[in-house]
Amino acid sequence: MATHRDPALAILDPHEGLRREMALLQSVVDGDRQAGLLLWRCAPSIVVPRRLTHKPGFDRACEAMAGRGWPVIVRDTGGDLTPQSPGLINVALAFRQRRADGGIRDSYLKLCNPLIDCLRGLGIEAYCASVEGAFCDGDYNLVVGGRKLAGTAQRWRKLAPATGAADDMFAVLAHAVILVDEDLDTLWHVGNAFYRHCGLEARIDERLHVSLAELLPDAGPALLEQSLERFRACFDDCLQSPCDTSDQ
Amino acid sequence: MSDVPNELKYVASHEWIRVESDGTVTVGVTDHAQDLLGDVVFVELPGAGTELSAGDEAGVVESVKAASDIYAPLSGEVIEINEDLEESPELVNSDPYGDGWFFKLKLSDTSELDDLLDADGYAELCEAES
Repeated sequence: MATHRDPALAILDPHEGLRREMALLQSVVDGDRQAGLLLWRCAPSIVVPRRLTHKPGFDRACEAMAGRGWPVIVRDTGGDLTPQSPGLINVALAFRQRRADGGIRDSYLKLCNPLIDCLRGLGIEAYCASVEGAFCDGDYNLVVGGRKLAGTAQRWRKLAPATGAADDMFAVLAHAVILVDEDLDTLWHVGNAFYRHCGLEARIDERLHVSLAELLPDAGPALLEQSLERFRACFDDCLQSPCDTSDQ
Repeated sequence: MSDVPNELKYVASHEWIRVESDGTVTVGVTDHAQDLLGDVVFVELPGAGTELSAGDEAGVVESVKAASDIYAPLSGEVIEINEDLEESPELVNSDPYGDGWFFKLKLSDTSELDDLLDADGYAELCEAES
């Protein structure tokens, strides 16, 4: 029987994974912690922002995709459609952030810079950029050689009055989904099938992505577990006391 | 410098409030807030009839950069929402104090109006944040 040395290797139902992310954010909102980190893997599913639920074809698309084994789940961090599967690693970082000019950019950099440093340690030069036509495109994708390795999104909420924080201090959940070791073409075909069923013109261009397995062809079957360890370790500095981490 | 109309009231969470002649109030997010968010792609608003207390989460704005909660600046009942935002969320960016309004409230405690910021106070807050 397989044993999971790292609890984040367990594959979560998407509802449970997203519930844990929002619980992490809530713990910062309530002042229970200053910051926290959650790493998790998700069962096959299609995660969409709330805006897509208002599209006329949404229910039809959900039914069609569920019938193919790809249930559709709504998340609260905006962005765009993201196919999820166990070969991807979700990194959710929650922290306090001033809602000032550049606050959204700074929040993305808190998430992306440690990952960029981590990848550099593996000989991979990643950077933040938009990749038009990639899944869930935005200015803070993690990109390698023009191809997208990770997508990102954010949710902002006010801190609870009991925290005594200044009015312009918010709680932020910054989230990345990193393409680690997966048959990417399948993901994009599924994503595009959703768009078609939903009656939307958007399409994901499968040529615009790259996985960590492709960048590290000699990594072997332990790549997922090793990646989890590396990604967790790269946030140690920004989670120093009084910050903490959570895999719960 | 963001646009801060003198005739409106404000709260620190970047919502504006206009007191109408019938005593109801209209609520939206400020020019400063929409600028921070970037291009708005979706707005989820409370249903008409929803009772809100000041500070309650009243909806969500999704932009190309982030999703952010909308807060009720005052306590009261939602009597109307801006249904145009369903098809045209970009109105929040293009006309935050006009066609980009969010919802109207029938106040349950008019004394809360005394706690709102005026334009100068809100402008100072924005200045301090930048």
